[in-house]
Amino acid sequence: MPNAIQLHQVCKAYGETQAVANLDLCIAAGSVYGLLGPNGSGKTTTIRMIMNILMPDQGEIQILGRPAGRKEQDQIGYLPEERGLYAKMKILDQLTYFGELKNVPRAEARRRGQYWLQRLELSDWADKKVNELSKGMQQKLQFAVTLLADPPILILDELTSGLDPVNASLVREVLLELRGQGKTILFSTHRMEDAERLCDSICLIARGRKLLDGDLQQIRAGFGKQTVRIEFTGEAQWLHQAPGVRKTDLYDSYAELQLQSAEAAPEVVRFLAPRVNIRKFEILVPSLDEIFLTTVAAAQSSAARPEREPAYAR
Amino acid sequence: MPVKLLIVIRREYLQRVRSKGFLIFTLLFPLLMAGYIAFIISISHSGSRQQYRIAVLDESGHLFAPLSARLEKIKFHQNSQFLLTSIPDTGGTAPALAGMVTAVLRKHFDGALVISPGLRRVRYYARDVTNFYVLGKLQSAVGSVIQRQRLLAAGLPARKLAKLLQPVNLRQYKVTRNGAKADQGQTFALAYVLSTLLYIAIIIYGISVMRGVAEEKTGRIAEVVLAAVDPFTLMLGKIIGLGAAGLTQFAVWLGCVGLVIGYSRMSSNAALQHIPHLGPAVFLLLIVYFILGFLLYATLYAAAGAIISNEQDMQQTQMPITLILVLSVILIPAVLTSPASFKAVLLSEIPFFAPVLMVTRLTASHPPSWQIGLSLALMLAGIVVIIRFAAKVYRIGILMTGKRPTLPELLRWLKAA
Repeated sequence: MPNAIQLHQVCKAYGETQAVANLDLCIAAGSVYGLLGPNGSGKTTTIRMIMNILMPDQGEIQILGRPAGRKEQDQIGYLPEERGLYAKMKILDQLTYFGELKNVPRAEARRRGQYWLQRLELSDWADKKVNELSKGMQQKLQFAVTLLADPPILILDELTSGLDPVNASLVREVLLELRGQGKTILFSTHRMEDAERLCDSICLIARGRKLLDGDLQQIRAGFGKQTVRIEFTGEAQWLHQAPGVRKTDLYDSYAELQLQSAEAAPEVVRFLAPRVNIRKFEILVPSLDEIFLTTVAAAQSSAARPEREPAYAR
Repeated sequence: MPVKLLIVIRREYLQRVRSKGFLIFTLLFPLLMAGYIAFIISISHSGSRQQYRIAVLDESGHLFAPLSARLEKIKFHQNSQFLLTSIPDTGGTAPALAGMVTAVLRKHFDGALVISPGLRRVRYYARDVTNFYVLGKLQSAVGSVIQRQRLLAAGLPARKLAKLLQPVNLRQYKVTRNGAKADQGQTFALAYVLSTLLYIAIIIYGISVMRGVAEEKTGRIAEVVLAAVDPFTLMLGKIIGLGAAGLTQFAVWLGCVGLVIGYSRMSSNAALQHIPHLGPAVFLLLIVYFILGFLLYATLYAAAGAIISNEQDMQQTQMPITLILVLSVILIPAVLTSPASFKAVLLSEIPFFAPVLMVTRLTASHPPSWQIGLSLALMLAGIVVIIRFAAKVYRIGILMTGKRPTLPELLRWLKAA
C-alpha cells in the first residue's frame, strides 16, 4: 500500500526567506501524524504544497503514490488554520457548496451536510448565516466542511483552537472514529497535548527544517532516559554526590536528577540504595512539550542568525 | 465547461440574485424610466397653473391695450398665463416706479414693466429675472407690439402688418434611416440615460467582483476553495457568476426601456411619440457592450480585490479603475454634442471608454458598422490581455497576507510565472 503522503527533498522560498528546506516526509496510510513546530516554522507552507495550492520550488510530493495535482487534491479534506467560511451564506448551503466543489452531487452533499450538522450538534443552525455563529460553532462547521466529501486523507491545521472542552472532546470523539475507519490524518499544531493524545507519529520542524521525525513512543523513549525521579527519605546531600548526575532539583517529597547519559541510571541506584531509603525510582518519559522546547531551543542556538530574530529583540 | 467552474458560477449568481439589494435595485430603475417619461412630457407641456402678474407703467399711453391683449393670449407651461395691470403715472414716473417696485417686493406683482414715452426704452423689474421662458415671451411680445406701433406710425396699413409680422418658429428634427422625426431633447436624454445605465451596471457589478474577491481573501475562504479548484476557475467563476447577475438586472432594465418605446409607438399621446425608436439591433448591441465592458472592468477589479488586505485599502486600490470609468461618463456630453466627429469616434474606440461612449453614439446617431466592429474587436483584445495579467496578480495575491504590494512588487509578479 503506498504512503498516503510522501515528500521528497521539498524546498520553497519566498524571496529571500527559505520557508521549507529539503523536507522529507513519509506519512503512512491509516496513521495519525502530527506536524509540529513553532509559529512560522513552515507548517502551513508545507500543507499548502501538499494541497497543491502552492508549487514547491524543488522536490517531489506524492499523494497515495501519485504526484500531487488537481485530482489528488480531491482525495484530501483540508481544514486551514484560520476559518474560511462565507459570512453571509446559510450553513447548510455552505456545506452543500463545498461538498459539490469536492465532487459530491448536490443532493448527496445536502444529505451528508445534514448528517454532520446533527453529529456536531449544529442542526438548529442549518438555516442561519455563518456570521450568526459563535467562533466555536464556526470551527465545528469548518470541520464538517472538511469531512463532507469523505476523503481518505484529512489535513487538520489547529483543529481544536477556539473550542471549549466540551466541543473539543466531541471533535476528538469524531476523530477517533475516523481513525477507526482507517483514514490518514495529518495534524498540524503547536499545542502539544493534542498531538500527544492523538498522534502515532510526529514530525517536528522549525525554520523549514526537519528536527525530529518518527514514531511518538520511540521519540519519547529516546528522550526519556536522562531524567529520573526519586522519592526517598534520608539525607538529601547524598543525591548531590551520586555519580553521573548533571543537575539535582529537590522538591518537597521527591527529587529530579538530570543524568549525563541514560546509562548512568543503574549506577545512581547502586550508589544511593545503601545511603538513603528509596521509596520510588522512576525513569521519566518527557512530555512532548519538553521534547519540543529542548529540540527547538537546541536547533535555534546552533543556527542562530541575527537577521531572523524577532523584531522585539532588536 | 468544467463542472467546478459551473458550481462556482451558480453560487455567485444565486447568492447575488437572492439578495434583497438586488431586488430593490432592479426595481429602482423603472422609477428612473418613469422620470424620463415625466421629462418628455414636461418639455412639451407641463408645469403648474400659474399667473404671472405684471404691473405696467405705460408712459406712451397707447401700448398697454395691445400688449395685454397679446400677452394674455399666450398660454405656456400648460396653464400658466400673463395677467397685466395698468398703473397710472399720476404724480410722476419716479414715485410710480417706486410704488411698483415695492409692490413687486411684496409679491403683489411678479414683475413691473416700464415703457418710456417715446417707446425707446422698456425696463422690466422682477424678483426673478432668470426664468428665460417668461423673459423670452415678454421680450418677443413687447418687441413685436412696439415694432407694430412703429410701423403703424411710419404709415403702413394695419391689415398688412399682421402678415408681415408673422412670428417664425425654429423646429428641430432628428434625421434617421426611418426618416426625419421631431426632437426636442428626447434623443439627448435617452442617450444619456442609456450610457449612464451601462456605467452604473458595470461599476456596481465590477465593484461586487472586487468585494467578493476581497471577502474570500481577507476571510481566508480562498484557502478552502483553492483546496478544491484552481485559482483561475475561482476568479473566472466569480466574474461570470456576478456578470450573469448583472446581465439579468441589465436585461430587466433594458426591457423597461423597450416597453416605454413600444408604449410610445402605440400611445396617442403626442409627446410620447417623440421618444426615439431604437431597433432590436441597438438593444442587442447594448447587451454585447455591457458584457464586454463588464468583463474588461471586472477582471481589473478582480485583480484589485486580490491585492488588498483590508477595508481601508479598498478605496485606494479601486480608485484608478473607477476613475477611468467615471472619465468615460464625463465625456458623454462631448460625444453627444457631435457624435460623428473625429474626436467622438476616437474616444469611443478606446476599449475602456467604448462601453459607455459607443452606447452614447449608438443612441444619438448611426455609427458605421465598421466602427462598431472595430470597437468590439479592440475590447475583446483588451479583455484577453487583461485577463492574462489579472490572473497572475490574482494567483499570487489571493493567498498573500500582510501589506498591500507596491507597484514595483506588482510588476515583479507580472514578470514571474
